[in-house]
Amino acid sequence: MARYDSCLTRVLELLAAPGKTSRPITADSDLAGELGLSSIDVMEVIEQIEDEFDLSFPLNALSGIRTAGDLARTVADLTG
Amino acid sequence: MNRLLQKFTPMAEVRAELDALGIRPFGAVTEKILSSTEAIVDGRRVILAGTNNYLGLTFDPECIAAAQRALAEQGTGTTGSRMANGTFADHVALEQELAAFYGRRHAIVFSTGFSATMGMGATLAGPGDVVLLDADSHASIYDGVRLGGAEVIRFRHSDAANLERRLERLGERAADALVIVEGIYSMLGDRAPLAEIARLKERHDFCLMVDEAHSLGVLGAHGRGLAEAAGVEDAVDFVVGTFSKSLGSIGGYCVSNRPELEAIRFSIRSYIFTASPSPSVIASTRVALRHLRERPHLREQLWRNAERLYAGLAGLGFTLGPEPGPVVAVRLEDRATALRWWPELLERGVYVNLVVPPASPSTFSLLRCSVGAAHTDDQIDRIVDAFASLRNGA
Repeated sequence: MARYDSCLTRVLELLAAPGKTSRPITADSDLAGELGLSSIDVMEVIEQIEDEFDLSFPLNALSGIRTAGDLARTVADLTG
Repeated sequence: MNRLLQKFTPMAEVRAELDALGIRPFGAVTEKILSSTEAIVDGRRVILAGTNNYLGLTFDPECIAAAQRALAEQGTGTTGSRMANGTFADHVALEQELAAFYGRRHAIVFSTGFSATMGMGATLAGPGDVVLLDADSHASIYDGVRLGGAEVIRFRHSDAANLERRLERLGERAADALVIVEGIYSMLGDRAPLAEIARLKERHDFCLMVDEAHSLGVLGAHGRGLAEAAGVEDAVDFVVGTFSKSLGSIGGYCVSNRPELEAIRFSIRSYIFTASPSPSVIASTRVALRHLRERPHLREQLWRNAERLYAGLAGLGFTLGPEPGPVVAVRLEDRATALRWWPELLERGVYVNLVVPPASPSTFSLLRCSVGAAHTDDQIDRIVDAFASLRNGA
């Protein structure tokens, strides 16, 4: 849980970076529908996560990611 | 059903936007094809500067005559799979000629380039395997490896160091990984860093597949593609490609020295469960492959034209792909400008490809040009002039 929390904190920071979205972001925010992020935006965030956490993010995991919380949970699993 | 169809709303909105602008960039109708470099498109006579017709062979008299003969003698189609009734003597002959051209022992001919690349990706790597692919890979590569069920990891475009880091993370699994790159990337026209990737293979011993779709007939002393140009053909386990660019027809192939390719052949669903290429297609492809081998001046002319176009557009101050080549992509940060300029180029007598996100590699849009050996200096200059007038009027 602690790992998830720290991952979520960082994911929310990255999603809130300038140019991504101006809308408020929570763990439940839908990346595409609610935040209006494109697939390119999401992949840019994932590349930043890969560098910071030194991991490779399988594309297969993308299909299960709808919200910021889903993304943080996947990162926590990959670093576990 | 509403939810099923709702996901198409954003695409329908794009279509409506284009309709409102009165343009049809995605599916422009070629009303009459005049030659390998000119046509009537949407009512205008235009120079074709976006057709990937790199050697200009689509109207070659020998290719046409061979296709006509095959049509008369063998009929309009095979009506069956390569695995059933669809393997004619000419399919086998083309496979032998491709193998000889590449100096490899085995070759498979597919009905399209997409089915070759997609099929090989889907079949080589399955559940439990891992695939590393360049982020800018063609849709057929992405679709194939996803279909196969392997773990799919993308590395940053043409970044061998990023690939290396990912191989290191895999540990012992790297030795069983499949790495896929392209000879020339279709959107920006740049090449994979294949010599560096071949050096990584010496350390990690992965399986390497190179898609030479845009580099067949373009790169290498004999036109075999990037692997030949980079001097690393021995490091490449599987070469895939298409007949629909330099060879001016349609179809795809895979060549390899790996004896397993003959077993893989019987496992590729996109090879088994589709009709084989029509005899006329195979006949023209065989002649085009012979021309590719026997007419190196076509490749030389292609490069003169590519460098003339690249230099002309660079001289106008446009941001282009990183290196000259038959694909010369004008990069525009503003999508609205790209949408406005595409029909204006058509009005000025030049057809190019419009590429907007998400089809482009990032957030920018492209007016993607491609040239061939058949373009004249005058045509290239008119393409450059059309861009210049847009620049001046912008």
